[in-house]
Amino acid sequence: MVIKMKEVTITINGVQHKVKAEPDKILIDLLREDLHLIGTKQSCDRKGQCGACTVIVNNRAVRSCLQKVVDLEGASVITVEGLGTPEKPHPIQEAYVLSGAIQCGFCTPGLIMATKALLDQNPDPDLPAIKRALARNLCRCTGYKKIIEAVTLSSRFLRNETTPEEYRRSLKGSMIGVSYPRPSAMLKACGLAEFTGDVRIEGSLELAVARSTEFHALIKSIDTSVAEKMPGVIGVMTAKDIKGTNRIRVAAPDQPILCEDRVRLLGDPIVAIAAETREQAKAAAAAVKVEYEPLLVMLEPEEALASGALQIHPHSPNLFMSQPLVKGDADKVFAESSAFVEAEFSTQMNHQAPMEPEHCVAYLKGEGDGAQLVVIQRSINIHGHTAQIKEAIGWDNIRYIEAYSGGQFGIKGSITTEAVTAAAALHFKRPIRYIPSLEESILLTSKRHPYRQKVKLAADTKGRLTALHYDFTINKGAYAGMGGGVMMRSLNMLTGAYYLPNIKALGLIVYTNNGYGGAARGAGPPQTTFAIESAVDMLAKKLGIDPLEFRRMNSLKPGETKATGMVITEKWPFPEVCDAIKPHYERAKRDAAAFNAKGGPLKRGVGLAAHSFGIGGAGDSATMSIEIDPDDGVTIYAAVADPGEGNDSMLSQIAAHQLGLPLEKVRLYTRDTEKTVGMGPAAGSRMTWIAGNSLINAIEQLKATMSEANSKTYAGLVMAGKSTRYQGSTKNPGVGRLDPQTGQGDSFVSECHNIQLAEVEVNTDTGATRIIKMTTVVDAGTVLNPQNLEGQLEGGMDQGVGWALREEYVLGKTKDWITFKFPTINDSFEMEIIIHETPRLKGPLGATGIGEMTMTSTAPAVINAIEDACGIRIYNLPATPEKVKAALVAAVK
Amino acid sequence: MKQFDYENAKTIGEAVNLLNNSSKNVRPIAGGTDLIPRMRNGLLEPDILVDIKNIPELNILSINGDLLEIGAAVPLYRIYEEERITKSYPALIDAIKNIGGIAIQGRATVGGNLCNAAPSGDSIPALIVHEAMCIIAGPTGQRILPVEDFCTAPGKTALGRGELLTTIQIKHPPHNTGSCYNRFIPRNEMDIAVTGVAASLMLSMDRTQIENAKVAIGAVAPTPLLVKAAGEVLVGNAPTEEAWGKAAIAAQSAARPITDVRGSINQRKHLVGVLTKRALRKAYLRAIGEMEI
Ligand SMILES: Cc1cc2nc3c(=O)[nH]c(=O)nc-3n(C[C@H](O)[C@H](O)[C@H](O)COP(=O)(O)OP(=O)(O)OC[C@H]3O[C@@H](n4cnc5c(N)ncnc54)[C@H](O)[C@@H]3O)c2cc1C
Ligand code: FES
Ligand code: FES
Repeated sequence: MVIKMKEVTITINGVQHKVKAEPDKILIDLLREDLHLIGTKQSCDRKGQCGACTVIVNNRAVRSCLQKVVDLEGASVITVEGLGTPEKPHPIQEAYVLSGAIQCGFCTPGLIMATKALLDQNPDPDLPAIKRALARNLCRCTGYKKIIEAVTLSSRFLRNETTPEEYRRSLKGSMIGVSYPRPSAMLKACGLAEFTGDVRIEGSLELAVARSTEFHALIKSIDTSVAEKMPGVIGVMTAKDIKGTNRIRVAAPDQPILCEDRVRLLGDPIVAIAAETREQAKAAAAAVKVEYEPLLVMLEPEEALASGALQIHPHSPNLFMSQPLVKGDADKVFAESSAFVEAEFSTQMNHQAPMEPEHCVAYLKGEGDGAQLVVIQRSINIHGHTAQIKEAIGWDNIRYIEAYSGGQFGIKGSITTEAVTAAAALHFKRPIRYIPSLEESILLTSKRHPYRQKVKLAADTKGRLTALHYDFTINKGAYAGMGGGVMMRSLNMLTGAYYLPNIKALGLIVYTNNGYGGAARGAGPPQTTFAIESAVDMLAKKLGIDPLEFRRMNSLKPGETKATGMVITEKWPFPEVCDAIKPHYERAKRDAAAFNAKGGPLKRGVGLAAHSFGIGGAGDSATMSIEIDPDDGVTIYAAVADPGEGNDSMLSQIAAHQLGLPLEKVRLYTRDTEKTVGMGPAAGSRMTWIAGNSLINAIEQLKATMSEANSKTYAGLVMAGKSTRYQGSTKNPGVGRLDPQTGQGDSFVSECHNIQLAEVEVNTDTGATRIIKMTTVVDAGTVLNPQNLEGQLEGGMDQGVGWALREEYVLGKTKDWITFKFPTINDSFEMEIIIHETPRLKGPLGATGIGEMTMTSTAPAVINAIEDACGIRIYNLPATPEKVKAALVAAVK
Repeated sequence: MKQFDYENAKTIGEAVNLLNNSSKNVRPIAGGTDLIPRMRNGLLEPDILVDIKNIPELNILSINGDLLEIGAAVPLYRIYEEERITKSYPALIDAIKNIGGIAIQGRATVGGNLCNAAPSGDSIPALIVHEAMCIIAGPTGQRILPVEDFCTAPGKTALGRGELLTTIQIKHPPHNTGSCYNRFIPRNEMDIAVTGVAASLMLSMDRTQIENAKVAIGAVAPTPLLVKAAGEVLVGNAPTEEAWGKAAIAAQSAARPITDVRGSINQRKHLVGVLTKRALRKAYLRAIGEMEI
């Protein structure tokens, strides 16, 4: 068939283009691939789901992934690049930056264009109009609150009610405790921040991977003969072409880059194919023939632990690990105690759902054995990840450059597509770009571990908690990922804010053929806290004590011990946190009672949950450098990733504060293994604590030298013969390992204290739950940047609600943003944040971390509120309408 | 995506000629919001796409006397931005405002939603209770089909080879009529209906009796269904909760849902009841002028 090309004349950002297009060409490809206007993003693999590709065509917001170019004769197209530049931003771009609406920024260009289309038509939109205009633009980071604020601020700027300059004038005074916009925000708002998929390397081949269609099987044969001859194909790569161990190792060397003789998970990679275009590579991958001999599929721990069950990995029994925790004598207390509750809880497997798919680029610089292999992806641990790649592919000289990161929420605890892309660059000796689809990205990444938990919790007659039994089984899935890390974190933070003198717990981690568990915001404590905080509410009810009072009276105190036996030495401000929520709790109770007095199928309820989240692991350490520059500014060299939580702000505001510099004079060099040293992952909410402290140490050395040299300038230090670069480091006290028999030992050196209040409305006709409001009191020590702190809390509560009510990952079924139901702006709800500041004695300027705590108490608060509303308790997340309705029906019977 | 050819039809006759091709897989394309993602996923592999957006008759949106005509290429936003339509056809407006969000509504069409024949297609139950008629052009001329007979199976319509849906016609509803479409989705946005129900009611002059009633259900059978029995139990009765309850039971017994990732048989049957009552309540409030769109 002859394909007719059509010539169309289109004006793009004011410039007229004559383009020849095939009938199937879509606008996003014209923009991104041909014109390199990379501000227009795609998350959903162009299925019209994400909104990241929104541009304006003839004054209307349009999804550029569904817009055919041949339909655009005479059209005028505006992309985010056409609005403004960092030097001359559009007021909407300014408003997004100043409102703190940009975290990872992957969704930002699409949102900005949708906002522009709205405000062009409606200069003063109310909340429903804003929600309607942005309803299909997904954002995983922010919880939408600051996005709504950004639209409102944009409209005020555009109506000249205020100006960006006026707004910026309020940002002054200290460098600490003021919401300066994050350093990368303006680049992201203008569509200039390069994410991995935006990187162009001359002469790149495109990679596609043939993946297992079986959940568990032996590979009998692999036939690539047809694929090799297909148009555009440069070559194929199988396991035997990989020089290293061919194993991705985090906790255990168990995950093949390309499978040799067995697949253990649906989607396991088998053959990689390089071709001139992505379509050609994908077509060839689809033509690879693999013959399998199916093995028994074990998706649940019981199946994998059954006697005689097939061992999934040669190096380990299916019971990957177990860990007891014994403190005091819980059995004895239960034998004597009168008041206890007992229940089983489960949490679902879940997807962290960063917006950006797992794009990767790799290429060789130089030739022969000494060539440097450059890998570009979004990492949270460039040095650790480089070590993983080296071992897996057998190449030593690797440089990892981190692109801007479209969110991660723990998914990058281990490498994802880096190993196969790097191995392909070595094998084909050509630059390689791998743009997996969203479906593939979801299949190949780690997930939040599902937990099965049995809880028995006792209190004495005065309402003091006395004993806990806690047995939990973690479905590890097919690969170890971070291994026992989640279990250790669950045990370390088991009793959160409370004092519990007697505990007997046992955790098991079991290999299965399900999606493999890795880090996921909170990594363990959210699952555990859902069960414990549900049980706390049940026990309070049984004892007839108000749940807030019950929580407060069981708070830990200095001198008492946490679950691991570690003694509290610092002030424990949890009772004050409870006091601060009290008026809100009482107001919410009154509101719900007034509403329910009206009768009808809608029932409102109020629920609480709390946690004191551990920050700064025992024995954790970090190193980084600071250098004074010729203009007397400084550059910080630190492998500190900022996938959206605000680490860039943290580093630059601390340095500016300590050195008395303006923010423009603090530069960050954080995303490259060259010139930085390893300092562990941007995970576990550890960066503010550990990187902040090591930065302060480096700055102290610089300042000491300045006073020795009696000069604060670069020239002065050079004249005095002093070094211009200082390495700082820090190490937390203690040993980061629990006793294998008793689970006792050193735990986190700091906590972020928090209580959350959920107000919900349950429709007893349908079982659907609506969140009316979440209120949270948080004590994270000194607040460095209030807007970033709020952003973490809002995004965390939004994710927590999604996890509580509807999100779930089902292997083989969850494929995109329709089948994975993360919250849209129309699911967003009112949020109020109350900050309580107790400076931490050993924290950087008194601060501690927050990123993960934010969703830890959310799910139990919501579930407790549902119980309060309609008297039924949900034990198995998520609380879907169907489950709630079934429980209501069962309760009537 | 497989390679395909693209033809830009300028008249209905030209489109019909192109579609009436026995050796090739030819498909019309309107907004493309269903078609393009399906082609990209390899679910559809047409050889030729016939663009119908540039056919003038298919872009007509008019109210002539008591007849509303919606051309098959009219994007959804044009419909809900027209005040005369929003006032008189609230169920249709409820439905199309649900389809795909603003950026989709700039391109998607009611014709495409209908021809796509998804069991969950939101506009279809609404069109059914509005008693819409489909005007179809084909190699042998024009024919007219009531909308409830248009979809024949999931993804299948009554259109034969060479046939094109050109226009949807709806008579102006009589006085004292109100209608509503509502659906249940897991999130408040983004999702495909687990269940959808449309209802319309015509009341007597004194508003004490139901003179005509229609209920149509979506996503609970291979095609959206007109539930005649639900209409029949209402006619002649007073507009009360009791009447809504009876209609809900009739609608539930007509539903033949399946269990899939979006919902189970039980949940869907249950929801048909809840949504039927809600749709009737709202339709009633609209009929007596106490509720806007
Ligand atoms: C992100 C997203 C969200 C969506 N949400 C919803 C939703 O909530 N509810 C819902 O119901 N749908 C939804 N859809 C589906 C889709 O947008 C609608 O079905 C839309 O109305 C289709 O119209 P269209 O003009 O784009 O159809 P097209 O894609 O152009 O065509 C659809 C089908 O109909 C055929 N066709 C089109 N016009 C004619 C004609 N005149 N005669 C004969 N055959 C014709 C085409 O060949 C094709 O098979 C969604 C789609 C996307 C991408
Ligand atoms: S890429 Fe267009 S909506 Fe996702
Ligand atoms: S800021 Fe919206 S997805 Fe990250």
